[in-house]
Amino acid sequence: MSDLAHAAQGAPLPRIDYNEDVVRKFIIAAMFWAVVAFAVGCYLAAELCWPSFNLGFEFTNFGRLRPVHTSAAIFAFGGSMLFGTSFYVVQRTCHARLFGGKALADFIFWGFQFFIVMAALSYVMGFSEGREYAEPEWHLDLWLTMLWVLYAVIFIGTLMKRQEPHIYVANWFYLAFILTVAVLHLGNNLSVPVSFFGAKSYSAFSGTQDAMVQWWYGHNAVGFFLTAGFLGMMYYFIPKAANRPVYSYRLSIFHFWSLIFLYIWAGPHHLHYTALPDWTQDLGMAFSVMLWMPSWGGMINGLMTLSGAWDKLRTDPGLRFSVTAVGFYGMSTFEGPVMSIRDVNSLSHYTDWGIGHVHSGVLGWVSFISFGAMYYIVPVLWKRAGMYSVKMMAWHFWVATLGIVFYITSMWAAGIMEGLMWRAYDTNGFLQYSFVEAVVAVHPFMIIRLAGGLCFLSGALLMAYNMFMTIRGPRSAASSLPQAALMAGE
Amino acid sequence: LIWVKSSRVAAWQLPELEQSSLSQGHAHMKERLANSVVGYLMIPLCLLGLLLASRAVDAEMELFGFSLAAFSFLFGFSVIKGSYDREDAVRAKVQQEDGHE
Repeated sequence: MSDLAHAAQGAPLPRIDYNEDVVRKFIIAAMFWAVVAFAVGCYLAAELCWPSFNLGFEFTNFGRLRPVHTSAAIFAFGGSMLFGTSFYVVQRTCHARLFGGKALADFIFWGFQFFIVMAALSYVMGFSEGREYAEPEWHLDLWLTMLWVLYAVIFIGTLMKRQEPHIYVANWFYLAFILTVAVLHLGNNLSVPVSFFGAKSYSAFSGTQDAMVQWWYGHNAVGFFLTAGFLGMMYYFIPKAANRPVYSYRLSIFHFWSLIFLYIWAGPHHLHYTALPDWTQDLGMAFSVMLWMPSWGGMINGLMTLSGAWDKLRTDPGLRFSVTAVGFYGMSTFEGPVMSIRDVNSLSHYTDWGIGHVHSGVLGWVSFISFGAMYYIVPVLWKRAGMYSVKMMAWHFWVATLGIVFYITSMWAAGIMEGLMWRAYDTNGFLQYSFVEAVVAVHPFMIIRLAGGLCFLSGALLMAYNMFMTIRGPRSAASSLPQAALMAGE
Repeated sequence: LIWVKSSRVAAWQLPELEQSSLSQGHAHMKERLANSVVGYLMIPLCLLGLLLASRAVDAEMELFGFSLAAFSFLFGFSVIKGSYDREDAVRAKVQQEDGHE
């Protein structure tokens, strides 16, 4: 009998022994990796302000630590959040225990942590494929492929044994993230190892094709890893925290299909003014501009879900994180298509504007929606009445928001200034500024960026302490769990 | 627990509630089987790690090989330990319930 049938008969829902252990592990790992990623980011920001922070060691220079920062932020922190919340959401919305047993779920968890540590070590040892957001060498790529296939088996297996007739929209987004990232990972990492017993490999593509494949992957890593997966999080946790249904379920379906169809074509906008054929650049630009439609549809859907519950923002800093994240999602998905327009790109490309844009997405959208989800899920998973300190949550929110504002405004200013300095000509047709003059000019903005990063890191440390104290605190009676959790039989 | 208790009588003798318990028992059996498969998977992974480490031509592959072997060994051990821990917990619960009866 399905849960709907049970509900229709007024019968209580049958109790399912959800696998919450693996979700707890992923949430703790996500918190740990968030602090690591932000700390390494701050260190790199300091290196950019004062190069002596490179310390003269090869393993602490910017080139080797930068992929440690990006991988820790995107894959370790973001990935752990996606694994953890997808396992949580798919079980709850399908009313079924995770498919494949406890050991398989644990293998995904420990195998993924193993991958992260091995990848980070390989970067600092100087091994890298040199591909943006896909730096691990071939043996680590194969390991991740195996994990990803098993992850898909667990997720799809749980969907297939669901007790609910309907697949909730959040699961559609998670499923798109899992399947598309699998295709992207396989396509982008096709490479030929020098030896089966050596780490070095070379890409199967070359020249412009290689650049095209890399940015087909790179942009869609943003689109499907950092957007689709986290939209799944948004569609589950905002309605839960607000205790309201999704504003428009029809709009969420429209959001899903239009996003999936459009995103995959947008990659070439990273290669404006390169050897890539013009028509391909135009195609990427056109699809990027069209992406406004699903992105803003999704943003409106997320924000309007709070209709009638806006007052909760005053009392629930966790929900404040989620709603602000949706705002940042709207902002950065507006900025991205603007930057993809060729004329704008001629100014913005290769400047710090791009860095600011990426961080408004990753800090404002990815991190904030994750923090919102974590603040909701931690008391539920550990059966606590709430977080240890709501005041600390509020402090976290404001410190982190201030940090993002420092970060993105300084990078806007630095980026636009760099772009203008690089393209300035004097009356004789010579470049008006040497490159180093532009580097000197952005120095104050680099320091402001570091201040922003430190604010964000401080907020994460507050959160880690708050989470630690919450987990250490006493268990609460079921009646004091969050209302939305009680309604779902959680 | 439900599977252990319900398996003491024939399925047709069980009331409706326990029939569903029986299906839960099958689910537990499937989970045990899945856990075993994952545990056995650690053997080839561990051997592969040792092979890579022994023939490695650079430091990265050597590190990866040894780490893979250690990871597989430890994870396989945790699967075995977890299996016995769960059986102990079930046994303790059954004994506790029998005591109450």
